[in-house]
Amino acid sequence: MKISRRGFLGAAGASTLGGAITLIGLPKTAKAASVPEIKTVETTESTTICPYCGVGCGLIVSTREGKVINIEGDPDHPINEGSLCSKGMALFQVAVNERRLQKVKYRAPGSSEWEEKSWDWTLSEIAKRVKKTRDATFLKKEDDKIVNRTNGIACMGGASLDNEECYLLSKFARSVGITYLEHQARI
Amino acid sequence: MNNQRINSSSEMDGNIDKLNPFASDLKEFFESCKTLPLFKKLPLRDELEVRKQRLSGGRYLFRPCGIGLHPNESNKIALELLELLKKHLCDRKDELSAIADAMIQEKIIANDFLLQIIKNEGNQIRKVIRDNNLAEDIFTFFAIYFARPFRQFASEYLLEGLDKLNWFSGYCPVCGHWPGLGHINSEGGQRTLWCLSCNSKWNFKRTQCAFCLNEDHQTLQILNPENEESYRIQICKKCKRYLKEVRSIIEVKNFPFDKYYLGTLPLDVIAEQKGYFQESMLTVRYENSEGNELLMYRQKVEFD
Repeated sequence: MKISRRGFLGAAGASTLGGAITLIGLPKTAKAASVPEIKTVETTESTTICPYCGVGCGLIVSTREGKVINIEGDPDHPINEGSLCSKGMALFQVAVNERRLQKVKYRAPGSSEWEEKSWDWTLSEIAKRVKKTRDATFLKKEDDKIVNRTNGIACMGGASLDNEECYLLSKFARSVGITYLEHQARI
Repeated sequence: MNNQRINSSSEMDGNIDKLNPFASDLKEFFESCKTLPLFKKLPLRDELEVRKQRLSGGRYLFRPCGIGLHPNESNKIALELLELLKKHLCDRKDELSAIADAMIQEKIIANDFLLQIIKNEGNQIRKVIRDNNLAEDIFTFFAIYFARPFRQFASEYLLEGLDKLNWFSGYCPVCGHWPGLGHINSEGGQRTLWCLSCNSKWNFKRTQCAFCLNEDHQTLQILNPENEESYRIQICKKCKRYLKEVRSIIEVKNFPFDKYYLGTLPLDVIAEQKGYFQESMLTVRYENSEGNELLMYRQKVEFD
């Protein structure tokens, strides 16, 4: 079987049956050596669990050169058997999305402009403002009962947070004294 | 599916379609074989519960010992198949005629030869090839397809009543051969493996090697030929074997496995160029389902 590199996949078809007979019947080394190397891409399929809710649906994540190229339900997972909810199906867009912001944008109170800020500035600013608000609104006692809470801050978890992130967020909120703690984890 | 949309008009698709006339004739041939009395004495079939137990213990069902075949039917099927191959393989007519002549002259007794194939006596078959100076590739191809109607009948007979297979091994639950092709349902993602020898199909975990049951995603990878997203090869860096896979919208029951198995030859070449191999389809790795070899294999993959 002598096939040129160009159009190898096509050329093989023209003599497919003859080629297939060689494929089944003979040791492969000679045949493989007669064809130039074909360009391929290597994909890794890893199994994981959907990060969204407590159901724990199985996922297969396909990656090429470390980048996610596909996420689908794991058909062999006993919980979801390959199916996913609308959020699970859109998981790919969490990993790969050109509309996803990759830098901090800040709009100062009263301003109509967004400014780009560094993470260092942002995190310290958030800490400063949380502390300021908490101190100003902290309530130690109510009706002679210790409550240790702040009524000035509410905390809202986002739908794309995973279980571990939600755990940390709720731990943080309770340690600060936030009682208005909610999460948008609904489909 | 996000990026891996099925490319409905790829180069490989177009070329696989060129096999349509052969696939159609082959299908018709197998259908006509179904009307013949293939077995004089049927394969041993245990009670349903015993068969279920065998499957859950990893023992495949077909035990060729004691089967009886009709000599005339075997001969007729062999010659019909050779005619069919001659029609589609014009450039190998002489070699196919040599096989037919050897059968007509009874240098090869169809019935005995068939039993050798069914019993996976690879050395005996290779002896027939040597003794009669036949072309090895075409004879092996013929041998596999000659035994197919008998093995397929055995498969349907032995799987009767077993709606859902309790089978988690990579080799065929009926005849013990390794899978020839994997079908991935493009809607649900479920993988079905197919046996070239007996046409049995069984579900198998997507992210596991069908040969050594490796599940480590670092050593179990997928190779995609460029611009052919529907066709892929699962390669196992641990046992160095590979499996061709086709992602298709066609349901398993209607999927023309033979056509795709034969038409995806480039995938075999790619895998071999990368250093992966597939064992001979003529023989099974384990001579029978009762032997210690199979038990040892199962113990090895369970403890690895």
